[in-house]
Amino acid sequence: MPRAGMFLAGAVFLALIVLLNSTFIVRQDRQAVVLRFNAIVAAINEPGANEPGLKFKAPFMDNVVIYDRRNMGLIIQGSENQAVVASDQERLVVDAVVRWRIADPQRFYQRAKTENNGASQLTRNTEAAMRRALGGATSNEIISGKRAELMQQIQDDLNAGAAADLGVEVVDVRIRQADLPNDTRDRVYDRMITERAQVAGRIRSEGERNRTIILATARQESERLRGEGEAERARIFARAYGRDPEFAAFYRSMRAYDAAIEEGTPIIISPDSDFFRYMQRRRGQ
Amino acid sequence: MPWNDQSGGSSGGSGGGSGGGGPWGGGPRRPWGQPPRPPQGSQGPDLEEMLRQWRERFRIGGGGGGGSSSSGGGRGISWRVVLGVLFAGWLISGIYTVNETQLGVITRLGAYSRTTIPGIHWHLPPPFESRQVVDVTSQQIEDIGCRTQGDICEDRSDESLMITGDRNIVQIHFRIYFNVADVEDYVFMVRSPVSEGDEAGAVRQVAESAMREVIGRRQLEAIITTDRPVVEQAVTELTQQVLNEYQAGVGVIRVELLDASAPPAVIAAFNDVVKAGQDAEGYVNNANRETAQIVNAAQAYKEQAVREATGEGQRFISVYDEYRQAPQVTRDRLYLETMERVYKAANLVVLDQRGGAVPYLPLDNYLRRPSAAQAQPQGGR
Repeated sequence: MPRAGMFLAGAVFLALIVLLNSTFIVRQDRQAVVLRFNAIVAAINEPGANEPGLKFKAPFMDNVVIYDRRNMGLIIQGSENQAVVASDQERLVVDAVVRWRIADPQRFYQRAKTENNGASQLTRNTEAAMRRALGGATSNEIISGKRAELMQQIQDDLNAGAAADLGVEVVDVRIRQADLPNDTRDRVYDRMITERAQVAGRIRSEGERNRTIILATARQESERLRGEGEAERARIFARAYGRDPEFAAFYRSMRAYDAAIEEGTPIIISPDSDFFRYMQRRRGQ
Repeated sequence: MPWNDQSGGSSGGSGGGSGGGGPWGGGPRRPWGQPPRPPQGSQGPDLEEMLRQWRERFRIGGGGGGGSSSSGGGRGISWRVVLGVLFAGWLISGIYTVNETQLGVITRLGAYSRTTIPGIHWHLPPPFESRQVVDVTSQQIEDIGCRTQGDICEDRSDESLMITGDRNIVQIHFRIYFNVADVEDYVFMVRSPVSEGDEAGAVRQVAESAMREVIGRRQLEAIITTDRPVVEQAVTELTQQVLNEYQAGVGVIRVELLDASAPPAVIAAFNDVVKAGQDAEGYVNNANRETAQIVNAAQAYKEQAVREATGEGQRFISVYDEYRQAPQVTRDRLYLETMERVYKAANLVVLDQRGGAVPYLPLDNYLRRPSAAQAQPQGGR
C-alpha cells in the first residue's frame, strides 16, 4: 500500500511536468514562434490572425519564443554630429519616433531573434531612410512645408525595403523635432533679436513722427490764432486812433513814456527842454 | 491569499514580459484532485495543529486517505477542512470590483474574454482568468514642454523650443487632456500609451510631434498672439487622428497651450517691442497734452489782444472826446502830467550844456536796471 502510493505520487508528478512542458499561453497582446530543435515550425497569433489562448507543443523538443504584438515606439535620437544635411546645405538635427510592430514573427526571429536586436536594426534602417528622404528636401520643406509627406515617404521606404525584410511593419514615422544645431540656433536668436529691434525702432520712430506732427499742427493753430488776435487788435486801434492821428500819436507817446521809464531810470536833460520852458523864461527875464 | 499576484493593477498597460512565459510555472499546489468539499461548521484549526497533523499523517504512511475509520476519523476531517479553506480562498481571489470610472478587461488563458462594467464581479481564479481594471472616464493629462512642479511648470528646453514656419524659435508649453475611448484597444494594441516617469508614452510622443508639425506651418507672430485657439484645435485633431491610426483606444479631449512665447534668449527684445508700442503711445499722449496747452495759450493771447485793444481804443476815444472840447489845454495838461510822473520816478540829471562842465557819469551804476532798482531803493531822488 505505501509503495503503491509513492508510485502514484511519482506518476502524477511526472505527468504534471509533461503537461507543463507541452502547453503554453499566448496572451492577447503577444505572439509566439514555435521552434522544434531550433527550427521554426509555427507562428501563433501573429498580426492578422486572432488565436491567443492555451497552446500545445511537443514536450522537451519544442521551444517557444514570445514577442510583443502591440504597436511599439522607437525613438530615433538625432545628435549634433549626426545632423541631416538638407538639399540647401542647411544642417538639421532630426529626432523621430517610429511606431512599429512585429508583423512576421518567423522572419523577425530569423533576422533579429530578440526584440532589442530588431529595434536596433530598425533604428539603423530608419536613419538611412531619413537621410535619403530628407537629403532630397530643402530645410524649409523639412521644417514646415512638406513634413507630412516626408514622414510618409520614410515610412513607405522602410515598409518597402528594410522593415519588410526584418519582418516588421512600420505603422508610422513621426518627425518629432527638426531643429537647428546649436550654433545655427544662436544665429537664429541673433536674427530674431535684430528683427525685434527693428520693429521696436520703427514703432518708436512712428511715435516720434506722430508727436512732431501733432505739435506742429498745434503750433500752426497757435500762430493762426495769434495772428487773428493781432489783426483784430490792429483793426481796433486803427479805428480808434483814426479819428485824429496826430493826437493819437501824442497820446500814445505819453502813455509810452509813462510805461517805459521806470523808477530810477537815469535821464540827463537839458534846461532848454520843453519841460523847463517856463523855468527858462523866468531866468531869461 | 497568496494567489492574488496576477490581478493586474488598475493602471493598465504595464504588462511586462512576465505573462508570456506561461503563468503555470511557480503556481501554488493546484488542488483539483479533490472535489470541493465545503467545511462543515468547524472552527478553523490553528496553524500549529495543522502542521502537527500533517507530519503525523506522513509518518503513518500516506495511505490513510479514507482507510482508518474510527481513530483517524478526526484527522481526516481536518485534512479536508484545510483543503476546503485553501480552495475557497482561491475561488475568492477571483472576486473584484470595478469603480464607476473604470472598466474591467478579463482575459481567459491570455485571450480576451469580456469587458465588465462597474460593480462587483467574479472571474475564474488565476491562472485561468486574469483581469485588468482600467480608469476610462477620468481625465488624464500629459504636460509637454515642461514638468509640473507644484504651481509652476518647469521648462524642458529640449521639448519646449520649436521652430516656426518663418524660421523663428518659439517656446511652447502645453497640456493634453485625454481619456480611454476604447478599453480593449487601450489594453491590447499599443505598448505604454501613457508616459511612465521619463519614458515617453505614445500619447506624449504623438502630441509633441503634432504640435511641432502645426507650429512649423505657422508664423511666430501669430502663434504667440492670435492663433492660440487655432493651434490648440489643430493639435487636438491631428493627435486624435494619429492615435486612431494606431488603434490606441485613446480619446483626446483637448489640448491647452500653457505658454506660447519667445524663447528666454530673446524675450528681452520681444518685451522691448511691447515697450516701444507704449513709448510711442506715450509720445502721442504727451504731444496731445502739449497741443492743448499751445492752442489754449494762443486762444488766450488772441482774446487778450482783442480785449486789451478794445479797452485801449475806448479809453482813447473817451480822452479824445474831451480833447476836442479844449485841445490845447488838454494836450498841455497831458504832457505835463506825464512828464511829472516820469521825471519824478526817474533819476533826473539836469545838465546845462552851455556851462561847459563835462559831467562824470558812472554809467555802470545805472546799467543794472530792473531788479536792482526795486531791490535797493535809491536814496535821494
